[in-house]
Amino acid sequence: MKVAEDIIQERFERLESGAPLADCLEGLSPGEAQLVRQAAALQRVKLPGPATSAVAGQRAAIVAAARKSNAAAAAPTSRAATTLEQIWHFLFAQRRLAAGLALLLLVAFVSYWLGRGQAPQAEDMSAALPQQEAQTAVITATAPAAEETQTVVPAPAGGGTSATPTPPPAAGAAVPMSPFQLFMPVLNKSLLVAPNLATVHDLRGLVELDSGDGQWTVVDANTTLPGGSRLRTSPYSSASLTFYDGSQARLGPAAELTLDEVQALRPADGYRTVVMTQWAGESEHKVQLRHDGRSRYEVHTATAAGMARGTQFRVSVAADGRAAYTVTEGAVDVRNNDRTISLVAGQTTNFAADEPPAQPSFILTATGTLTQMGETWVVAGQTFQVTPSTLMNGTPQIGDLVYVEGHQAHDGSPPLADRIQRLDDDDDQFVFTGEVDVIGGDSWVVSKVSISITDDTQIDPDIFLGDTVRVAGYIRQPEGDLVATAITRVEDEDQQPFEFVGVVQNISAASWTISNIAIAIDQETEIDADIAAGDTVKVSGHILADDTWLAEEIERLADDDAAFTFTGPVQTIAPWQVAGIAFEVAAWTQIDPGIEVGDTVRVSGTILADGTWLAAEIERLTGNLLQIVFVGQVSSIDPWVVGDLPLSTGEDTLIEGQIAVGDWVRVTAWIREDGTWLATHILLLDHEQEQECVTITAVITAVNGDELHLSDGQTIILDDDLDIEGELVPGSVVLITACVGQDGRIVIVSIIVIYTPPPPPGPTPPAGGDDDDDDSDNDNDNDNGADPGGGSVTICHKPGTPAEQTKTLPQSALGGHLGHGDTMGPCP
Amino acid sequence: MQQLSDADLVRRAQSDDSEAIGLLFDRHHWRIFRYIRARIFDTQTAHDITGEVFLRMVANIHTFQPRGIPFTAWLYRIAHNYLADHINKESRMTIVPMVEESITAHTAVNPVAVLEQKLESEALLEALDNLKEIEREVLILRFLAGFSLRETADAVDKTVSAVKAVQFRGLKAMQLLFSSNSRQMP
Repeated sequence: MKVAEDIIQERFERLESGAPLADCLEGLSPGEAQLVRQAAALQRVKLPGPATSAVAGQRAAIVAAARKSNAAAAAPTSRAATTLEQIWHFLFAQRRLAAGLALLLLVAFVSYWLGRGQAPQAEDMSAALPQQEAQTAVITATAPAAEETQTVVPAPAGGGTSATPTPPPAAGAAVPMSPFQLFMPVLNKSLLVAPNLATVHDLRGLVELDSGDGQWTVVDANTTLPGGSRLRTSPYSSASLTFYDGSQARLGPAAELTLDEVQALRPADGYRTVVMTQWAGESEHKVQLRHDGRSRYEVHTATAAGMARGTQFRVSVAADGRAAYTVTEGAVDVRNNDRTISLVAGQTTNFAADEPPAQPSFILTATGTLTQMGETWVVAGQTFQVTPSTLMNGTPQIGDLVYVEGHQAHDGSPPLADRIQRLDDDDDQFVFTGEVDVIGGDSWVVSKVSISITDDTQIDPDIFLGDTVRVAGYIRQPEGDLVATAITRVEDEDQQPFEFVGVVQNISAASWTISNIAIAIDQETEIDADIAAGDTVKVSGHILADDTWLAEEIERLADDDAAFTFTGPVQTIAPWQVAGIAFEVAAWTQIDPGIEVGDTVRVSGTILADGTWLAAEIERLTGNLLQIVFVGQVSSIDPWVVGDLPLSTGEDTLIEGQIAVGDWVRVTAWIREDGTWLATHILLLDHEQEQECVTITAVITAVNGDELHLSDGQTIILDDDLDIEGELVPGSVVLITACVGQDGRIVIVSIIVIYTPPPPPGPTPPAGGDDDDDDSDNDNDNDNGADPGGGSVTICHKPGTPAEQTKTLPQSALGGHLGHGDTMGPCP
Repeated sequence: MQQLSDADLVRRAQSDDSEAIGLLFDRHHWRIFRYIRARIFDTQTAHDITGEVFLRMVANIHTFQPRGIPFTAWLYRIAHNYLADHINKESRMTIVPMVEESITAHTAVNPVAVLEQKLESEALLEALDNLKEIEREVLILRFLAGFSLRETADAVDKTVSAVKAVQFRGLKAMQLLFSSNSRQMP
């Protein structure tokens, strides 16, 4: 049938072929003409483009990148790996040389970083390709006075190394960037309130202030803090502090810090005194340089004090209380046990409470795939010692892309890892349930956690303050804020849904017993009429916090549908009991591995004739450390690599969608004993799944059995799945809704009668007419005994099948049903 | 070589023919830039993103399978994914006035007409920004980037008839936006 889209499309094509607009509008209704005008206006939209020379430059860069890529592909990859190992081992064999080279390299690193901070947009496109292959171990260090940048390249033969001067690395070059690099916010004058106050701002996640009575209260942005204030951040949270002289501190996740003294006078007014004590986590500091000799900026820990003289540095306090000071620019003195050492850029020291600061070590970093865990970890082929002092961000697993920062051990053993962070984006997914505290345009607060909202966040309508919602999203880096991808309203966080089919054993006003389960009912419960003991019913509802099974609907069913599904915590295993329900398992029952008491599981199965609940599947819903579900971008398909995580696939791997490199997919995967990941499900995301539907208006010219004839000559076959409202008689005007299914086929899904012609004058024949099948009474009975002129009829739908059901239909729909085997009259 | 199809050029590119990459760039640059520029209201950023898209094309050209989706659709998906990443990172894009170059370049012709056209373009882009994602994508591809109905359908992984319907709905929604804003439709 010719619908409006076709007519408009035809005019668009004429327009695109160069026909004058006026010609394309001929014969169209005003509304249609307006659409064509609008399309023409869109074609005329002015979108300023770059200069021709810029495009030419870009083309040259693309072609050059292609040449470079071809050259790289031609080189044997094993050689690169071997060379890296050679560099690494050589550097460790020649520590002095390593330190010197590392010193020079960190100059490049710091120069690069500074350059990046000044011109973050100026990324060198030609450097983008190598970044995708970066999986290297490097050593970096710096010296404040160094001016020449050097890098280490392997000697052509013999396995040695040499230092070769190179130009400073361009922004975007493959120099490793620490994920802990300083990301200080831009200094804003409004944050500089008074010398004796620090302003807390740039809050991410949950940040709290000790109110002095041992209670922690959520702190608002731009709160000013005097000396004595104690601040803490939750996991996935962070906050910045700005002092009156422009010095800044940033607290990372799970950090706690006390401002001991705050008197940050500016140079014209006097000396700066900022002293703080860090109790946990990590902080980063950018301290304004002062030349007065008396200004102080000190960060104490339980074990030491670090005194900055105008610098950038980090302080971390590990779970075992060891403190680490790391300098990224300038110099810091670190004092403990009457010993003071000076750290310069690129150096770190790490020590316990009863120890003097260890001799400074140069920072070592490595970025690559984690291939071994345990006392020693192997990243990018290099070995690190992991100790209780190692700060761990995320929960890295074998195969993850990780960043490691460490330092050389003084006893010649493998370097010690100071911090390890998982870099894979999929690590940053989160889901939680909480109460809505604040609803804002760009951010919400749910259970005191600040959530960022973007244009892509899908939010259920009608959510109000105080509602319980489930928030799913990801943690945006480097900001560390929680970005919601979906916020859905849930009725009650303590309620778990259930649904099962069982036999009614007892019925009372407030509760029923169905297959040995006590089911509570209330005035909201919808119950089919005439249900009696012995009937098979499908019951659905929620399990309340007190383990009450509250029914929302009880529906009578045929006997052979005795299936159940419910969700709840595992109380015992062997025998199994979940959410108060004891059930049996068989040898063929599919049980997710590793289920433990306390885990939340979904159980589905069948209730046998003797009332035994037999589980067919027990699916673990939470707490499974061996299974991951993540969203990532496909970087390779054969073999599969998603979000830099190599995946194995097997016969049972379900791959949904036409997936191409660059697409976003949701992956469910299990870790195997050999450390590889087996994908069980890969689902294409980011494509509109909604059905496309159109609604047209038509006039019925005839109804002939299950055929509906329309005024435009179309014929529609009426079937069971078609939703019909009203009586289909000749002359009726109907709204017909057609949708495009997932397979691309167009399916008529509903017909709604919006106008029924008045009956013809004269006596109306009785319903059912003469039914002599010759239609002499003009009742359109269509040889099937029905009278489309009005009334309804009772049939048995799908007799003899589990779906057998007595239905009452408009007579006009009878033909279609009888044609599919339904029978007249109620089911037996 | 200019007469080669996309599939032929891709095959050459997969055989390390960098000049084929250059020709693919020539052939598709304008449309990809227009697609991106319609969402990114800064010409320089749109130019940079276009460059990144083609770099990704280079990096992944060996994985492209000519028997799968057409090259145009494949390239669009790279652009779409990269653009989505960028917009996610940058949060909501701020609509800024178009650069003055579009006015100055045509001032000699008819400044009033050029200004009117500029305002009309801005209004249309704003309206596009308020449509549903799929409607916006289809309208941008069809009318700003010059994709055919078939190319658009391949790009957004829908049938031609579905794209027709989305296109129709999108234009109707724009019409509604203009009428609800009491603006004159362009």
